Amino acid sequence: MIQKSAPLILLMVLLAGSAVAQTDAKTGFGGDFALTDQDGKTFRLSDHHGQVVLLFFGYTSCTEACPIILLRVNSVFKQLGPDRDKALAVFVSVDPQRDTPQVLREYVKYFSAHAIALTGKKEEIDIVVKQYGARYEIEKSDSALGYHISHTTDIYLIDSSGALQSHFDHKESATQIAESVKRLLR
Amino acid sequence: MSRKRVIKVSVLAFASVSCSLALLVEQNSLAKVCSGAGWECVSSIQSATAFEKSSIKADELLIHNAWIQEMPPTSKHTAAYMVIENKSAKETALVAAKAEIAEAVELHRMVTEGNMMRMRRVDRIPLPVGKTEITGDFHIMLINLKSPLKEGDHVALTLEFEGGGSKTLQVPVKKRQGEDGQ
Repeated sequence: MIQKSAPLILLMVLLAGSAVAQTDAKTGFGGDFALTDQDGKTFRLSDHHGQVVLLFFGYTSCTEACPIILLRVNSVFKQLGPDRDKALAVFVSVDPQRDTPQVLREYVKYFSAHAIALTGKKEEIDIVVKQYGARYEIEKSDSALGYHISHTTDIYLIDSSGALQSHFDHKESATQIAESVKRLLR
Repeated sequence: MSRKRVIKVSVLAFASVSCSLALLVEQNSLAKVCSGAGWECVSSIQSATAFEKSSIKADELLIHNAWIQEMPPTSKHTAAYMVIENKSAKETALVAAKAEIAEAVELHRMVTEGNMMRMRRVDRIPLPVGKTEITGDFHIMLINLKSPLKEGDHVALTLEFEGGGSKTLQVPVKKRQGEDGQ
């Protein structure tokens, strides 16, 4: 019985896969996008099919959550061992006013050898933020910084076909994230 | 000591007393910070001057494990962290911090609401009796650094407390460690 229904299940999975394309079937989040990388070149997610992607949002004036996320991602890549080239970390800045490609280049190079940093016009970034269900708010402040950016700190796990699989909050360890990446690479 | 690049700063007038070498806070060493000759030096000088109007004595506020995060060279901002132990019998507060190396030094608090990280400037960091961690949620933000800071540098940081007391420390710059300790 199980053997007979296996092709049917496979067909259903394939159909489901093509129907949802690259968005999560339950939430509708995820999908392809294009932004500008730290070298000023266009980065398109669909150009990286074949790699598992860890996507997250932040800004370089952030001295707390963002370095912590980047160091966690770094730790994930260490735990991937020889499979690390099959994965990619993508940091999307939500502060295009301050985060020029040059600033982003130095920032990601410092914290993680495996991360790409992206920027773009605010409207372009906002589309990606919404697409993945992330949020950020620019808040004016009496701080010498001028403004603070509140942002979600989730890390989104995208499989090698470009489909959003799940996301991790700040409580989940590098080891838990690495295990999920490894499962997708099997 | 001679290997370390010490950032030249103008410190409060009293700190020019010939004790600047001993003012260095030993890195991550609670025992050394609490009982070392360097710490005694800080306390004795400042209790005579900066705490004279304060109801809390200088040696009732101990600062442990102070460090400043090394950031990428293009970053203009960084943060200082420490644990402050209030050994007096009443609550006080950290109300300001100053460092010549930065255009502004502010007290900040990171608040996590759900999965949203919010940053706030605060007027004071309460220091109830016992230890208060200023190690992330609360932090001391150094804004618009006049020159990049590298691991091994030391930065003179003056902490001002409610009631008029202050302490100046030489705080080491270090790399932030990841979850795997690297």
